[in-house]
Amino acid sequence: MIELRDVSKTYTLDGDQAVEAVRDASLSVSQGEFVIITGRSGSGKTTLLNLVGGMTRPTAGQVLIDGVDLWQLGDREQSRLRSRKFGFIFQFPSLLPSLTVLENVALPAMFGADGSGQEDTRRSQELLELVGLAEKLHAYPRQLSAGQQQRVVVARALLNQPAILLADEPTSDLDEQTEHEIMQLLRDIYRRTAITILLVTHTSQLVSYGSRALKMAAGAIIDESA
Amino acid sequence: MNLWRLARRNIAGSSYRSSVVFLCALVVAGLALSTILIVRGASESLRLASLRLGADIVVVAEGTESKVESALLMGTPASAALPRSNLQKIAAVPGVAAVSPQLYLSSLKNASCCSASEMFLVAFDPATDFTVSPWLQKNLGGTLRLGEAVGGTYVFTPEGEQNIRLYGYFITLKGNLEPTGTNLDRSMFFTLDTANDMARVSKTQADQPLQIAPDTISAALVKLGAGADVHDVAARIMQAVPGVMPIESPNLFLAFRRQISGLLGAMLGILSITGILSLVLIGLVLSMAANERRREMGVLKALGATRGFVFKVLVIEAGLLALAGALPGLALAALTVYLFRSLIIRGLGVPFLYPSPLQLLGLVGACIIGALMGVTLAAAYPAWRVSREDAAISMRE
Repeated sequence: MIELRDVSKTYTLDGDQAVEAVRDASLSVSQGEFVIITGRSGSGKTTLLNLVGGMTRPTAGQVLIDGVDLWQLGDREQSRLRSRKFGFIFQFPSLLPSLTVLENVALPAMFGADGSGQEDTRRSQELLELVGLAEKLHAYPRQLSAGQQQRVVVARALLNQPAILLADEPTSDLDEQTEHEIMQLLRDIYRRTAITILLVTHTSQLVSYGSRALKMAAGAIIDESA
Repeated sequence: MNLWRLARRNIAGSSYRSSVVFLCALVVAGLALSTILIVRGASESLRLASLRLGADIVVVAEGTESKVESALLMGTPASAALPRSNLQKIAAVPGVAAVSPQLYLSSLKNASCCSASEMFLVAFDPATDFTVSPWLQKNLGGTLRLGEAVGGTYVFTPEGEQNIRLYGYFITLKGNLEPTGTNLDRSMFFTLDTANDMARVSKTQADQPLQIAPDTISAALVKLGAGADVHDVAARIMQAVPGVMPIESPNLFLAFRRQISGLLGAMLGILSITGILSLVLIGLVLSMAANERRREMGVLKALGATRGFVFKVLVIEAGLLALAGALPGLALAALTVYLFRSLIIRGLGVPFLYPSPLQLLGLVGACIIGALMGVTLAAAYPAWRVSREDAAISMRE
């Protein structure tokens, strides 16, 4: 389902300074896996996730999704694939502040859903119920706690019924209790659906939630344990 | 949710950014329309005044040309006297097809014998006239009789009365001419016989009698024959008739044309500076906004937005703000120029004609298109830059 072949990503910082964020990474993830990638800050976890999601172009190597090379696709095809295939959970507050909770959750439907507006709204409501925020439909992000906002992001990530969920440090700004709740929620979703989850975190304690664990250091995948 | 709704919600959600773009669009669009209305109004007014006079050359006494022009356009009382005998001399000049005298008078100020105060009066000779007579023939089916007159668009018979009283003489208003925006709109046109009759009656009926010097006119209006060159004929008139100044039609109201050109230059200068500053400010604000919102745009791309969508959402937001700002700015400008048109005429010393509703609509439409293009242009580069960026780079900021 997801395959990385000798993928490298080098960023050029101010001036000519080059930083190799990901180095010759190869990875294969099958459908239905819950892969947790751990590593220290700056180890290349987020970049690896961005490479998988087609949000940054690799300097070398190939990113294949269901056998299709992401970077052989044009912008329109790649955007369509992203909206239909992936759900994203970010580590930073990623809800649009001018939209209500319900509108934020329904937002991906603009790009990928085949259903009607009513269907999108109904599904958004269902997902908000699933994450325990049924009573916050018309609230704005600023009126929610950090944990509640992250739950909304989870609901948004699931709207287009993606095959792959990419989660970048989804609990980094949350307290221990909320962290547990979010991880529990992701595990429930994983168990209920055939979704593939790729989650990166600097907290090694979270690996117990996944079905497979990877470790990254200095841009390379250095350890894999079942 | 769709592109337009998302853009509207984003506008509502960022009041500071929206206010700056809104205000800039309001000021520039308002200023642009004011400039266009004033300069166009003045130019159009001159064009119509020249057309109304209908002469290829206006001959006046030497040294009185600016007085006559001011009298015609601004209603400044003029004492310009030209011997009537010059008419034959002018008529004899090769290239002259017709020549007709006009006498410029004015009613008394705040006099009990006049129902219209300080009105500009033009007396013409119906036998030779080629300026007012065609209009009279077309609209009234003949010429004016003794005691009859036509007026400019703002001349009317006082309520409850049947005539207009000037120097104690009763005049019947037979019709009104189209507006020109000049003092001709407040002028009355009648025959030389009526003027002489008025002068006769005024000796016994007016607070102050109307003085008409015998065998004197204010100007001679000249129509050229086919193929005659206006400049050559004017030069010949100067040679043949001493003490006169022929004003060629293209040079008619030259001082006012220069004044309007100066006004146009000054207003275009102000408009250009304001426009450029506003565009720079809008560009900076939109650039800062696009920069601030890189993460938001990165998220949209992650959710499946194409580069085109990101570009469009930023440009549409700017366009909607331009429209929202331009509309009240234009309405304010149109209303202000309309309400203060008399002040504009007095303050700037130029004639002025407010456009018809249809023309105004066209000008407003052009200004809206201008505002939309300007703001879109200012928004295009930052929007393009953000739209081309890697989603991952955008989200890292």
